[in-house]
Amino acid sequence: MPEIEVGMPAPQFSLPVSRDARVSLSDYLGRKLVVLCFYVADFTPG
Amino acid sequence: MQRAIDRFEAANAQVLGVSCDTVFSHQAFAERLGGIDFPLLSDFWPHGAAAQAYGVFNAERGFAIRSVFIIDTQGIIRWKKTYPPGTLPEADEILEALAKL
Repeated sequence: MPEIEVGMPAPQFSLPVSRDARVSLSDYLGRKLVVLCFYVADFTPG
Repeated sequence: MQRAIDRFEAANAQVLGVSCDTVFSHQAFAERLGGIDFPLLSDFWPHGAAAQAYGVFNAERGFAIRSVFIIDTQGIIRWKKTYPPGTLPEADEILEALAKL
């Protein structure tokens, strides 16, 4: 796996949020900061 | 994160949650929580591809490692933190980091 460090370009992603909609990093570029929160699994705390 | 969502919005920041669960699981989870005000992204297939790209995939267990990245409007990573099992991200700390950008 790559080591991602501060100062590096963020890897692009485009992931489903429902059966017919996706969210991509590019949706926010130039517009908003993104707080990308990876979490372990649904139905767990946090 | 949900409790602090107004403060993230005030900081012009979009919170995105990502796990390796399916969108169906995400929908059920969001309903269980009484609705949430930020998107939950499904990194289910190809399994964990986004988590791998960010270097936070637990390949042995097939889960994402709990972690937060702040990405600026130019697409550059400006802050990151990974959280050991049993610890949770604190909104205050992330908001402080946002305020310093």
